[in-house]
Amino acid sequence: MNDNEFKDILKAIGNEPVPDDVRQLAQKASQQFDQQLQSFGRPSVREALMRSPFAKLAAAAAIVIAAAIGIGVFTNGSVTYAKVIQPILNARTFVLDIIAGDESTAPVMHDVVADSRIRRTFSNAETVLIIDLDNARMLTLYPPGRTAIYVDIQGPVREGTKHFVRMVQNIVDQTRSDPHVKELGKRQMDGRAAVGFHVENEHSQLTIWADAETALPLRIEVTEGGERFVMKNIEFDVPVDVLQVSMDVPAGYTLQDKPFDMSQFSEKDLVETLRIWAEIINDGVFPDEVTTEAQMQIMPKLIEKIGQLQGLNEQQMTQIGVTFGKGMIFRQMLGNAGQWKYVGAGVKLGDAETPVCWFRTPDSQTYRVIYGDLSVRNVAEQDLPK
Amino acid sequence: MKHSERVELFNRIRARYAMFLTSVLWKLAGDRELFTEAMQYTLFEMWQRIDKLRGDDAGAYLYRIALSANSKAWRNRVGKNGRINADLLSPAPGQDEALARHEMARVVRRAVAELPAQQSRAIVMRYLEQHDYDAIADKLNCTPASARSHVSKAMATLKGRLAKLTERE
Repeated sequence: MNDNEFKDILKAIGNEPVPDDVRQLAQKASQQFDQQLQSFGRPSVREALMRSPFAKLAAAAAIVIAAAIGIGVFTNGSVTYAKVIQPILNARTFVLDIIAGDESTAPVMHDVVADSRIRRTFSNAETVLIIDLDNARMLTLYPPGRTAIYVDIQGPVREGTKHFVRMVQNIVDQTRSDPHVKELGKRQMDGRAAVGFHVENEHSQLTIWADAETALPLRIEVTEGGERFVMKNIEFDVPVDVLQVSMDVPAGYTLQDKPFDMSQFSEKDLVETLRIWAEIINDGVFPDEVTTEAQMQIMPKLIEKIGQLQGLNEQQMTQIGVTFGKGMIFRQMLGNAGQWKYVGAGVKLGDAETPVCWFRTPDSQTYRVIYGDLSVRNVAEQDLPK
Repeated sequence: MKHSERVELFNRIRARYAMFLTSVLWKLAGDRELFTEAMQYTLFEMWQRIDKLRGDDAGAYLYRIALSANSKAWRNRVGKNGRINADLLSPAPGQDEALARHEMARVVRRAVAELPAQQSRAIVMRYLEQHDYDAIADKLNCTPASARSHVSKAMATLKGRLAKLTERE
């Protein structure tokens, strides 16, 4: 073999692309290394204060999942009576901002929707969610730590998110076809002439401001399940890079091998959420309110507090975040069914005499009352605290 | 360094160089089992020597770690499935040319893994990564003339190793 042949072989090796399965092997090796890492040395007690990117990711993921529902899980389709989707609402892609609660202070969720995929980001968190509604999966990315994790969202999370997206699509049609729509007249909005409509039923109130010329919605306000949402900066049929909504883990990210399960929710999760809120976040006192807005607001604080807990490993910190998120989803399900009442503002954790909240699930005859010591009792409607 | 800082630094460097390491180790290994082993060694060495990966020359140091890890993975392979069919070095008439080149590349990879560290880095940068001599000199911390010399010596050593490998197989 002469020198040139030899160099050619070396160059051919240099030009070989990396096969996809080899990239996956690299990710797997990286994940395995993370598992081994703990045996190289455990953090000291003082260092337990450290906040690992993984724990942050887990906590953030759990919380934003809950926030992702927003409205409509147990409802009977209060905004689905629109029978005809207008052509403009058949947009395959759209982007919008969603705000839960007070518009001037609440964090903003930014959605890029492309068919059944949603890319969701948050103004107060660095987490990115890619939601695949068809397959009930969510890819959660944490860019600062370059970490990724898949979440199973079969069940209420998927249905709630679907409902939310569908509502955006139906709402203009609804306001056009409903004979009881109240016209709000014209006003200037973001430098454009806008026409307003308002419609309501027993479950929800909708206000929409649309461009006076194109009829495209500019701003949608929804009150449902006791919570208020605003959707604005809405654009339809915008070009969306397929990579933005790809469910593949981006290059350079490490995939955590233990996916979250967000498909089952129960009263027990809610009790644990209240415990976490009072004990970890709020210095032993239950919060003023347990709403999506409040949940979004305290998200950074919860992540910080979880990171400061001493003596917990990453798995335990992750579990706290997951439990908190699951309890909030259960609470949203109750709220949307109209059977939830929170009275826990200022109640101290451990107070066995004072109720914090009560609720009734659709299949129950009695209410469940949760007290300050987190005990739960069955109570008939006429015996509920006044 | 505190454990927390160490973890954060490690994760940051790993994320930054993940594609680079995957690419280099795959070119050097050309075999999934070897690649995985080399990647594991690389990550372990990165963790062990994280202090040295803090500066601007982290990339150069990672090169050393990756090449060393690759050599170790190849050494472990000896006596397992690393046998090389000497016939493939001189393909028989009619033998599938692509297969012959694939096996030839494997022999060359193994020979690269057995080179002294400096020569290994030089030849990988020159031919596998296809850097010019100025870039190689920068990474090896020497003059371009010295870089050229390292590459030249590496080529000579490589050919010698290749001959020995052929004899051994």
